[in-house]
Amino acid sequence: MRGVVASLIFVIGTLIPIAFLWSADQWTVMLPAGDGQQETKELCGSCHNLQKIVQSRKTPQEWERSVNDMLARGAQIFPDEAEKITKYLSASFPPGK
Amino acid sequence: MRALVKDYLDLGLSRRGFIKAMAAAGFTLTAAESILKNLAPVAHAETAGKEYWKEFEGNGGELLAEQLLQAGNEYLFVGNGSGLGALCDAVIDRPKLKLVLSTHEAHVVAMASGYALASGKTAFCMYSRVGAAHSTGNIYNAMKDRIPLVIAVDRADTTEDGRDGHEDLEDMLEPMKQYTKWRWIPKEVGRVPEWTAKAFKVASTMPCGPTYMMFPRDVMFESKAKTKIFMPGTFDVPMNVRPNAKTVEKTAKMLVEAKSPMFNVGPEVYQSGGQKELIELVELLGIPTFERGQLCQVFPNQHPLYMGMMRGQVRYPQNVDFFMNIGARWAEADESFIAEKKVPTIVAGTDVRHLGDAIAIEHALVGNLKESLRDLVDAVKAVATKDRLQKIAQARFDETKKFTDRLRAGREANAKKMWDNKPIEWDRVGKEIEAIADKDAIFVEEFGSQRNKCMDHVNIGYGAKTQLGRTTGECLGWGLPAAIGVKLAKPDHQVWALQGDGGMLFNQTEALWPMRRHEAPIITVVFNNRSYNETRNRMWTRGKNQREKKLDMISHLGNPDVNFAKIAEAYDIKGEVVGDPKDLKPALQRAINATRDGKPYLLDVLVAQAGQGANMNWYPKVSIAEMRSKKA
Repeated sequence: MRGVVASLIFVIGTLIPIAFLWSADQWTVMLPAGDGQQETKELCGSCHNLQKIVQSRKTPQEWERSVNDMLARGAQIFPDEAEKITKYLSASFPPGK
Repeated sequence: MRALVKDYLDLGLSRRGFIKAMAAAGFTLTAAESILKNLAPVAHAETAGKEYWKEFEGNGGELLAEQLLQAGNEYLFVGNGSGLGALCDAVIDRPKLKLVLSTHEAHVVAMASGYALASGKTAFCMYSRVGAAHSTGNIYNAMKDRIPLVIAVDRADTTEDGRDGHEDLEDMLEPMKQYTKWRWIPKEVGRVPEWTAKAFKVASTMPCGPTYMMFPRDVMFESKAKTKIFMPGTFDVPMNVRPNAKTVEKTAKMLVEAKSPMFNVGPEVYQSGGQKELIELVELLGIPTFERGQLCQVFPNQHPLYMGMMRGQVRYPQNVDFFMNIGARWAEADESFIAEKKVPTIVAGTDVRHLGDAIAIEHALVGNLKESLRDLVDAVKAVATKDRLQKIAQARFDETKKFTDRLRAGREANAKKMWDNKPIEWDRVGKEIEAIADKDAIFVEEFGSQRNKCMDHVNIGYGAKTQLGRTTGECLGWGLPAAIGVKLAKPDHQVWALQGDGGMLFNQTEALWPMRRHEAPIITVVFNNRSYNETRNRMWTRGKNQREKKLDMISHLGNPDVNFAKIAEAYDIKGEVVGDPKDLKPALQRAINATRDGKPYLLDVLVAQAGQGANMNWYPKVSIAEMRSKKA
C-alpha cells in the first residue's frame, strides 16, 4: 500500500508537471526572464515557433540584422518593440552561452 | 433593377418574369414595359442573325487552325517538333495566326500562361509529345493558378499508338491527369473542331485550368473531312454566375453589424475582374484586408487598410468577430486563430476545391466574384444609411491607418539604415525600382520568402503598378518566359522580370532566346545572392545537424559564381553586373533606355543573403576531376 501511495505521489509530483511543461510550446518556456521576453514570445512567436531563437547564439549586430530581416519580410512589429526584442535577444542568447 | 436587367439580358428571365419582379420591387407596369422597350434592341441583337457554324473541308491541321481562329486566337505559343508540321502548313495560309516560338517546352507553357494571365484570354500552345514531360512543371503551375490554357502535342499515328513504340508510351494521357482539367486524343479528323472547342470551353470556365490534347500525326497530316467549325460565342460558358440573393443580404447584415471584421483576399478576385468592387466594399466599411500577394497583388499594397500577409496569430484587428475569405486559397493563409476563436467565417468565389476547406464556415457566397462583390456593395448600402456606413468606416479606417502607418515607418527606417550596405539590400532594389519604373509598369516576379523586402517598397495592386507571379505552385522556371507572354499581351506597358539566381538556374537562361528572337523589350533583374536562401533558412530552422555544424549541404550557389550578364550577352542581349549600391540607379536607367529602344536588358544585381547560415561559402565538395587516376 505504501508503495502504491509513493508511486502516486511520484506521478502527481513529477511526471504530470513535466507532461504539462512539454505539451506547452517547449521553445517558449526556454526564453529566460528579462525585459523583452513578453514581446519576443508574443510578436516573434505569432509567426513562427521559437526554436530558431532559443537555439541560436549571435552577436548584437547579428541579432539586430535578424530582427530587421523579419520586419522587412512583413512582421507586424513596431520599431520600438524591435529595438527591445533585439536587446533582449542579444543579452539572452550571445555567442558562447 | 440593375440585377433584373442583367438577368433579362442574360436570358435567365422571361418578359413576364421581368415585369413581375419589377412590380414586386415597386415599379409600375408602365415603367417595366418602358424599360423592356428600351432593352429590345440590345436583347435581340444578341441572337439575331447569329452564325453558329461554318462548313470547312481540310486535314486535321487545317481544321485545328480554323477552330483556333474562331476561338479568338492571334498567337500560337509553340515549340519545335515534326508533329507540328500540319499546323505550320495551315498557319502559312492564315496570316492572322502568329507563331511565338521557344526552344523549351516548359517555356512555351509559361509564355502562354503569362499571356493568359495578363490578357484574360485563353491561350493555346503546342509542342512535340516527347517535350511534354519537360513541360509538366509549368502545366502544374498553370493548374494550381487556374490559368485558362489549351495545350496540344502530337501523337504517334493511329495505326501505331499504344505500343510503347517510337517516342510513345502505352498511355500518354495518364501522366497529365493531375495537371489538367480535361484530356483527349482526337482520332477522328471530322471531330477535331468539336474537341478543340471543348478544350477551350473547359479551360476557360471558372475555375479555369489547362486542358490537354494529343493529335495523332495521320489525323493532322493525311486524314481529311468536311465538317463544322464552331463560330465565336457558341462555345463560351463564362460562369459569371451571381450568388444567392438571400445569402448576399445575410452577409451584408453580418458585415454591417460586425464590430471587428477582417478580409483575406486572393487571386480569384483578379481573375474575375472584381478588384474595383473589392476596394469599394473594403472602403465602404473600413475593413482591414489581408493578402498574400501570390500570383498577383489584388489589393493596393500601400493602402492604409492593407495588412499584408495573414499568418499565425493576427495582431490587428483584435477581437475579430467576422472573417471573410474572398478568392484566396486556404493554403495561402494561416486560419488557425479563426478556428480557435470560432469566428463566423464566410467564403466567396467559384473554386469548390477551396471554398470551405480546412475550416468550418458560416456560409458560402458561391458565384463570380465581380458579381458577388457588386451585389454585396449594393446590399450593404441597402441595409444601412450612408451616414451610418460613413461613421463605421471612418472609425475603423483611422484606427487601422494608425497601425499600418507605424509598421510602414518601421520598414522605411529599416531600409534607410541599410541603404548603403554591400552586398545590396533587397529593400534598396525595391525602392530604386519604385522610383524609376513607369506608373503602369508590370512586374512578373518569381521570388521566395525575400519577396516582401523588395515588393513592399513598390506601389502595386489595383490602380497602381501590376504584379503578376509568383505561381502558387511555386515550381521554379516560370518567370522569364511568363514575362514574354505578359509583354505580348501588354506591349505598351513597361514589363519587368524579377528573378532570383536560384530561379534563373532552373532552365530560365534559355528563355533569353525567345526574348531576343521576338524582340521583347523586357527588363530582367536577377537578384543574385548566390544561394537558395529560402531553402537554407527553412532546413536550418527545422533540422539540427546542418545548423549545429554550420554546414550548408545543398543551398550554396556561389561556386561556380554565375555571371548572368555574360549569359545574356551570348543571346545578344545587353546586360551588366551591379555590385555597388551607388551603381544601381544608373544601371536601372540604362535598362529602361534600352527597352524604350525596343531591346531587352538584363541586370545581375548582387544582393544580400539573410537568415540562418547566411554568407557561408562552404559546400560539400565532390570533384570528379580528383577521382581520376589518369589525366583522361
